[in-house]
Amino acid sequence: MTGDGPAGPVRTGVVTLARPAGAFDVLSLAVPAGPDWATARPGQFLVVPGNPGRGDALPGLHWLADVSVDPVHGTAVEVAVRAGGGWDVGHRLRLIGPLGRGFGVPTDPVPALVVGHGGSTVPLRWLVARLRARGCPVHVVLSADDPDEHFEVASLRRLAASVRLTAEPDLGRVATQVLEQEPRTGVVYAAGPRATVAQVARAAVAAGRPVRVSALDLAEPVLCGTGLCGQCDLDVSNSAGGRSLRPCLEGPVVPGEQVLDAPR
Amino acid sequence: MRRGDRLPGVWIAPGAVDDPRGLLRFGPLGRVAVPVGPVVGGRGGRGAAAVHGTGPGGVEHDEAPGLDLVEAVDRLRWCATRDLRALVAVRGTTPGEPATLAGRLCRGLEGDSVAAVEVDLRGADDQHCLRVLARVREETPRDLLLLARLSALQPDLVGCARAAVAGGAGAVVVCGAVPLGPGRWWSGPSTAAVCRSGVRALAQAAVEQRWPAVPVVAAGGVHDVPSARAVLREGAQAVQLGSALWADPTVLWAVLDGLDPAAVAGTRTPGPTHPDTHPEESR
Repeated sequence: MTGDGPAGPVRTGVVTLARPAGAFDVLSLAVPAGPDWATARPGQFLVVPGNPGRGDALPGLHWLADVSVDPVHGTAVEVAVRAGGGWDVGHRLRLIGPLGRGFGVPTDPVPALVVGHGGSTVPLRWLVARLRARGCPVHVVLSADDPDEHFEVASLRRLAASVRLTAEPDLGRVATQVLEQEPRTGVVYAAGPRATVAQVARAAVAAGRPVRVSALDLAEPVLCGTGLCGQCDLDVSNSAGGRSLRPCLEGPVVPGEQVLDAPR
Repeated sequence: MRRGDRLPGVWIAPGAVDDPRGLLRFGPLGRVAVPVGPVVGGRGGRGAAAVHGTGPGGVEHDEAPGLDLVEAVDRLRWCATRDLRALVAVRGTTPGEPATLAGRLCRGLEGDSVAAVEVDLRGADDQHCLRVLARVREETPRDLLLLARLSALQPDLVGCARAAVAGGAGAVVVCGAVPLGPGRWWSGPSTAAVCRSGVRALAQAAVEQRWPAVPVVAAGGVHDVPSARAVLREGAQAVQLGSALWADPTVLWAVLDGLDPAAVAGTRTPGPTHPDTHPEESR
């Protein structure tokens, strides 16, 4: 690397394991050790640069599904890609990441509610595991357009106090029900399309709970993930006036209050 | 940056990167002019252009709605506090509007960070180019570098370039983006040949002394070191990177190092993460 050349989170990963998980293939990548892996959080993502010379004008973006840092066995990163994506074992690729601000866990072991929809639920199993490690009882509410998109529900059932499956339009209502049934719930997390997380954020705010949402939907077709293209911008309005929030640069995890009234 | 100074080899397209904070995460920006703009009169829209779709080798997008003056001053202040130089891009609906915008930005407290001003003249005729550049020249510091952004598909590219230089432009940016109707463009690596054709036309016209040749910046389809060198061979003196940075932001430093004579001569250690020299990448 040059003295003032590209710095930051650029590295090469090797696919060491691939296993099917419904609509996804879960890949384990061996990556060079680095301090940012030890501090990685659910909700952060990886960017696989495009290759314009071969016609790929945009990069690929993938949620981190898990990170394991082991001084003996090395650092392994899990990502979920669409099934049949052609990522075979031994495949080497350049990665930029981990990028973004992930979900933090509470300092006290308070009950938590985790809500997600579709492919955005990829980081939630890792989040629930971290919450359990902190001693937080976790209730999970999930929805998906396709049943195969429910990501690792069996693992979630082992980790969480309860897992409820519902339809996307009902996520806010079911979240409200859970908050009423579990009045000690101290924090709400949501991941999914913008309208969905806004729906959950409204339910949490109405119940007076702090809420953290992922404001980036990787299912959208055009994204750079590095804060340059501006396609993920949210128009955020508050009493101080309107401003633009760029989730891939300032988030993707942001306080839910910021997405309550975002028109897009 | 003064008119007549040696032109930096690599620029960043203002329309493609509307917020340089993202780039700063991947490396220092001391060797490039940070893009600010396009600055427009009145209220600007969202900074970024809406993208309508992608295809092999490119993206279909709207024209960048632009920043208003207040937002542009904020961006210039961001550059000034980090000791970065800025390329201010201006666009207007009347001949005087770009001049007013450029003048206010250059005369402000942050004006010292303005390295150059780029005026968007795509689609203009030669008389309009002359009028706009002459007004911008009057409103900006005497020796400040002005760049005229022209489309390679402009009907009279050489005439417009000649008029821009007559109006005070110190360099011409040849843009390869393909117009798809009012306010809509196709950009990406597939426009490299369009850009090269514009550069070639200007180089040939310079040989025939049909315009007082100034440095040409190639903007369109440059996505790695070989594509940058290809357009330099056609007669460009510099390249501008735009949507290629969306695919991989580290291309900026790869091209900077690849075109840097010090790096070529071995006095600078080349980086291992350059996209065009990735033997381990199998994708």
